[in-house]
Amino acid sequence: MTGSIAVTSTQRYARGSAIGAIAVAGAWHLANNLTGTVTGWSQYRWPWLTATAWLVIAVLITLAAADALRRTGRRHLALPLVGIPLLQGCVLIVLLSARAAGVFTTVCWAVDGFGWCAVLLLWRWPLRWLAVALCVNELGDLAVILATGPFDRVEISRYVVTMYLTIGLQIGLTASGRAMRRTAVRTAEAATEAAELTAARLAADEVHADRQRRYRALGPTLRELLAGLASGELDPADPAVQRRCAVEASRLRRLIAEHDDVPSPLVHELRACADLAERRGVSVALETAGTAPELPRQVRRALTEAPLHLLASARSQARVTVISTDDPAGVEVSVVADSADVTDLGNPARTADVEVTCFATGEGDAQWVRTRWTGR
Amino acid sequence: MGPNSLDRPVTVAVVDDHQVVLDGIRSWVEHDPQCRVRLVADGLYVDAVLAGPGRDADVLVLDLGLFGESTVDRIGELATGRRVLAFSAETADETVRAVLDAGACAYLTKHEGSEHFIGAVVAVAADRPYVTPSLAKAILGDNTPGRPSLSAQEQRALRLWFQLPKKQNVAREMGISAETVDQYISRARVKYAAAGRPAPNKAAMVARAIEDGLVRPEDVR
Repeated sequence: MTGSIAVTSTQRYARGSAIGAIAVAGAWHLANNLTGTVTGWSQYRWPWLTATAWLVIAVLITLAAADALRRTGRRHLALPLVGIPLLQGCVLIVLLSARAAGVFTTVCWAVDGFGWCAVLLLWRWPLRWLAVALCVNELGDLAVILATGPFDRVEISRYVVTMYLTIGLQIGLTASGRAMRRTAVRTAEAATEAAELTAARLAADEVHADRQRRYRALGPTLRELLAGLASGELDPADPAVQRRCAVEASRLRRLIAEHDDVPSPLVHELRACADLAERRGVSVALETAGTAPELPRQVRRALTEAPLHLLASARSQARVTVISTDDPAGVEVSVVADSADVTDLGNPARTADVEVTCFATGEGDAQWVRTRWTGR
Repeated sequence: MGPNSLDRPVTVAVVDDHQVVLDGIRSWVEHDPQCRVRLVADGLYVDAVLAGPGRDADVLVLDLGLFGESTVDRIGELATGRRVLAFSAETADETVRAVLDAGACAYLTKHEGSEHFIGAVVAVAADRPYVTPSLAKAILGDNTPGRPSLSAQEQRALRLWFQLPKKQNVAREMGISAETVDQYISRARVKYAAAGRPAPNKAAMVARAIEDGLVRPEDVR
């Protein structure tokens, strides 16, 4: 999670600074270089070659911009490897073409035409590459200027100032952009960490609340029973005590089953209670007719409460059936079991404020309870 | 199609791919105090059983899965000219209904076997309906569009028969006699025989029901 958020925010900031650099490079190439080319057309030694150089640089800016804006993927070494020499060549052509008109005129846009395009071509590469490229260009330009004509001391000092501006500005902007991106990543990581901590705390709260709820659900009956057994007040050999234990065990089992993610929770919870009875040696048949609708936990609890009591007191045989109907929507849970006369069948009404009816009849050995929920 | 009145034991042939099931059935047949059924053939393969004395048995008891292969598709063919009682561990309602629709006379799940086998074979041999609790369940769970309409009492009887394992308990719950409970349940089954795909066995069951006065001809048209 940390990774993905940090990556997204890095990409966002990288994109922002790339757009800024592209805007500057594009605007400079159009406003300064194109204007120079058009206005100085008659002063160039090779006007068409100069125009071609301008076009080539425009293409390089477009390609480099597209590459800088890509969100992912590998960086291509071919871009700076081919782009930088090509750019250098174009700049030198413009310089030589406009040399006669003077180095510091609008017509000769060569000296400051290199920097912004180079920034884009080296967008994805280390900052020192850019610094080297810029310095090489400036020194190369100076050498060509000196070799091809007169260049007085004032002009040399102007050139040095320009050099400072054309190298310093590009390096400064690129470096600050990258620093901003690093800060953004750190901020994003910190935010993610904070979010994870909050999520963990919320999950812990949820688990705690869940435990509290389960503890309350088990209610005083289990505590009383355990306290009685512990103090010796209740005799484990007493069938009534054994039955109470079986009931509480079933409720515990049901409580655990409630947390399982299954297609038919009601049947699953009944199956859990039936399993427990089977472990006591009771043969239980559980059958369902129709497909039970999705019922809230309270309704399921109310539906299973009385059947659970009868199952817990079954002696050797029990038949559990669940009948679900669609029209009208309803569910009926029925348990028939051989059991001593059962007086306590729990209290489904206490378990939930839902309408669940409970019928209990019995003759001799066979006891029968049904609980019914009817949808509205 | 065999005797309608039983002045002799019903003859039965059994196909099941488990020897232990065949032995179990033999034991149920032998331990019936009234000796109502005589096992004339049993075996692991349908064709082998039908090639011998099993050919003329009143009832063919057929396991729905033989050596991992379903025999449901063969029921239509086998049920032409003989009464088939499906006997299976499968309890899915769709299977039960499909098997009955294909022309099987009754459906018995394996866990109902010890209690219902003899009764089911005797009823089937006389073209009479026999409804086990699991068949009641399959009828109750039917919500297909073509299902026959059952009366409220028939539905209630089926429902209670599915819930309670004893007809006397159903009768007491409904405040009627066990015979009347049987009538309601059987009538529901006959309605199923009259609906769906026509088959000689179904026609025989409906005819028998009319003859017995269980349903009136206009009820099952």
